[in-house]
Amino acid sequence: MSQYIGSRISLFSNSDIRYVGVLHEIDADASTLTLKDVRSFGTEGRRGNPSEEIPATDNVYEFIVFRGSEVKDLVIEEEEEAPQPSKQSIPDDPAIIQSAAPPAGFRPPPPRQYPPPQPQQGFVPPYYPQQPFVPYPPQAQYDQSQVPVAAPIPPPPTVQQQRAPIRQPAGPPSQPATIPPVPARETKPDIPPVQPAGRINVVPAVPVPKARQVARQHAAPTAAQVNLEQAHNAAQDLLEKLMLETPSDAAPAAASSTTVTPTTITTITTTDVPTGPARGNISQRGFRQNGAQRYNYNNFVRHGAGPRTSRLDVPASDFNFEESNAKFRKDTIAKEVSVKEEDDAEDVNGEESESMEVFYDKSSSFFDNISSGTKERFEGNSNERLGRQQERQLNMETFGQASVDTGRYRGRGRGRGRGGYYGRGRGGHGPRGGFRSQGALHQPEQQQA
Amino acid sequence: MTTALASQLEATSLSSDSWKSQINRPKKDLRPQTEDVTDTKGSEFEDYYLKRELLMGIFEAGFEKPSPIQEESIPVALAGRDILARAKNGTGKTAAFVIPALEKVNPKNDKIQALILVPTRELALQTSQVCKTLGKHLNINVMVTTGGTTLKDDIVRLHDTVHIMVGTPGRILDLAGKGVADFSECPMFVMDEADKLLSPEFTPIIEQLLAHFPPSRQILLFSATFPLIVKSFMDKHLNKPYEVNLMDELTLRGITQYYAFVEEKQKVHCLNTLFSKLQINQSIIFCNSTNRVELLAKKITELGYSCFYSHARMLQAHRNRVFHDFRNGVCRNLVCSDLLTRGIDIQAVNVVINFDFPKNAETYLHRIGRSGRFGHLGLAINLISWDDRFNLYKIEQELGTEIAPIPQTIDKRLYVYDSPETVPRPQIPQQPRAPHQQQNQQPQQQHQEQLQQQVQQRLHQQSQQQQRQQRTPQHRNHTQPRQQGPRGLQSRRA
Repeated sequence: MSQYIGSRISLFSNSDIRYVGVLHEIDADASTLTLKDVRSFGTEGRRGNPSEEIPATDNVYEFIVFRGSEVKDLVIEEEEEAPQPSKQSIPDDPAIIQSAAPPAGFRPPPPRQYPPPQPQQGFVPPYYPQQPFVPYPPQAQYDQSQVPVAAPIPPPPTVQQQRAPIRQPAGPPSQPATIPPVPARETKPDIPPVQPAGRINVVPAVPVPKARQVARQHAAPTAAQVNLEQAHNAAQDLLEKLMLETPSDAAPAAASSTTVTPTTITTITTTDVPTGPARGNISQRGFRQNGAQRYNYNNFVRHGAGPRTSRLDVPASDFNFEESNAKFRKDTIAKEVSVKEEDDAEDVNGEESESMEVFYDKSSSFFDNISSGTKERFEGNSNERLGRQQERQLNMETFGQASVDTGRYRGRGRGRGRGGYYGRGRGGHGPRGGFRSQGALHQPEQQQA
Repeated sequence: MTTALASQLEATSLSSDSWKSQINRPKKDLRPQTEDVTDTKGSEFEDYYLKRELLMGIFEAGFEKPSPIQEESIPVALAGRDILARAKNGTGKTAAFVIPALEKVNPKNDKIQALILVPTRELALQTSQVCKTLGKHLNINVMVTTGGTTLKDDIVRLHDTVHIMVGTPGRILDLAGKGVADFSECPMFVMDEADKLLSPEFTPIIEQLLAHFPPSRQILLFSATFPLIVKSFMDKHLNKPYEVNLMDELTLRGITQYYAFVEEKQKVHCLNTLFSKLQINQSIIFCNSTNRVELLAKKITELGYSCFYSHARMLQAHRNRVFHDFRNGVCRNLVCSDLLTRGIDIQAVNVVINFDFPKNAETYLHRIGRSGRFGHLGLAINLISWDDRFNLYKIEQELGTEIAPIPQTIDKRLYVYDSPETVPRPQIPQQPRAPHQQQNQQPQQQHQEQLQQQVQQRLHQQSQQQQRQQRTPQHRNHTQPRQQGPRGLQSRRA
């Protein structure tokens, strides 16, 4: 199953929390599974009890190592899934992971270093679930379904998931909000120590998130699924299957001893104040990372990881456009859009859908009504600009580095344009002008004529 | 003697088109053109009774016949009416207002007689070039002024005669407000990319600027996009504008649009493959942020391709140099932000790549309009990630166009120029620096220009020194060693 490395996966923990991330590594020895760029979608109503639901969060964690025994289910997300040819396409190499691991206090040893015999000792970490936090309004909708949590929830394994950069608030992240608790999941025990789940549902390409979720939740059996046999330890079994070679007998024992702590999560972005299970009420806390912490993270990654420029390996082979385009069906977007618009319409109390709008008709008006930067600003929905942190994440994904000026000092929290790096750039350090292939050229400094 | 003179006179008289035969026309551009520019009524430039010197400039620039927008606008503009004109990207709008402006300017009048306002500095440079190219036999002084340059230089420059001023709103308002630029008798106010100039952030500046003009001024508005939001300005300031709308649909017919679905992390790989597979004459690659522009430019060079990059956070001098060199074909690829989305006219660009898909239809339309200039063919390739899917849908809907999945092989006939050597390059060989039109100027003027140039150089050196001095202490503040040293040194030498 190693071909699934690099696939985007939904992982359900035994606590019914769904994480989405890119399958990064499977370690049969340690019985762990590492997802990259992970976001949590919370329990999405699977617990069946609103008071116990754990909300989704917007944090994207670069890596999370999951304890195999606590993984209930894995689903390959269709959008980016299609078995990748190789590991090549994963920009991150393990070495970087290691150096980018979280601060010693609550860091498990890097995956590669787990002592195979007793994985969980190095690994059962202080266990710090990530804080679900409520970042911004759209997210607040989750609160409806989960209301104050009275009793401390068993350590909610947390969460983090990301489905591609959070560039589009209207996209997937908001989807779960509209999904009512799913009865299908209610029947499952909250935290079954060992849950039969050695199964990988391969859901065929259906680019409509809603449809996908419905398919998974209600009609999982009907979806094209690869039903792998169950084993005495479901998670372990799963891991074995994921690895082509299936070693380890020690693992089951290890896994079974971890019943108290559900999915173990560690991420390098663990800059949230760690909150142990004992503190409970996690889902109520909605606090957010503050800027300083993020900067720490950035600095950490940048300096700790060495030259980042090498992170993005461009395969020598040609990009296969046909294969890639096959993963994307443009014609289904229309449906998704109409669904979205309905939802939006409900949200704003039935404001008229704009789908029938005429954007430009020469015969009726000189003017057009197409979307523009001006219009967006005018109407106040200019979410087109990414937050700085979001852009850095996106840049990491695209280029393997967050900005060109790695290694240069960037004042913490300082504004970009005012005296930080850019200010100096304007001051005239040399050639911001491009990578030049030719030497001396005329300098059109004076533009007057 | 007298007979000889008489015969000479006869020979040079109004006789026929002998002057036309002497025109040094550039090589004819043999590329096929779409009806976006060929669908004319059959007018000729001679039909407008333009000054012969202007006609010479027009023909020497390689123009043959007026494009549809020129056909519609030039006579009306010459008649003095306000115009509201809408035509597709790259179909000749610039010449449609520059030609009437040049025709109406009286070189013997020392006042500013036309203002051409554009939203970006690069576009100002380009438009002023067009003015100079078309008006090179007219003894008309064109001045371009934008932000990012020394105000002092402009003030010095304005001590001399300026007939046509081209620039960006902020700087021009500055000069007008200081009383340095006198528009009190300026009869012509042109806004190119008018919708951009009339967006909420610019409108107050425009209105203040208009207050410096005489009430009788003629206003010409040109763009490919006119959102409803600009209507109020028109109602308020335009006098029974003559509407020209040549856009039956929004997108150009010569541009084939494709998308390639990619994961974010595959974008560079995808682009690399595009570079190796496509026959790029010149390409413009758009990113959605300045940071990404630089990152991508770096990646492209690491992949072994040459590229320039340009964005709004760069020094203006560098921006200018990049723009100028790219126009002259020094480099094949240009990575940029939306800074260069509008109006930039580089005929040799046959491929536009949206490395980051734009968020709105207007931006998309203007971006892809950088290829397929003047009715020629071009490609627009969009890298689409999962998150872009709604924008893809939206933009297709709004523009009423289809963006098709990229085929494994792209038909060369859709975008490859068989004879790239005939593709027009910017006409004027000189650099866009001050003393341009001296060829046609009086000796006295030349002298003045030289003086002025010296003054400017001195001023410029001073300001550079100041900058350098300001810079030095900042270096000391660095706690990290600068890693870009070598690059910086190289180009400083250059």
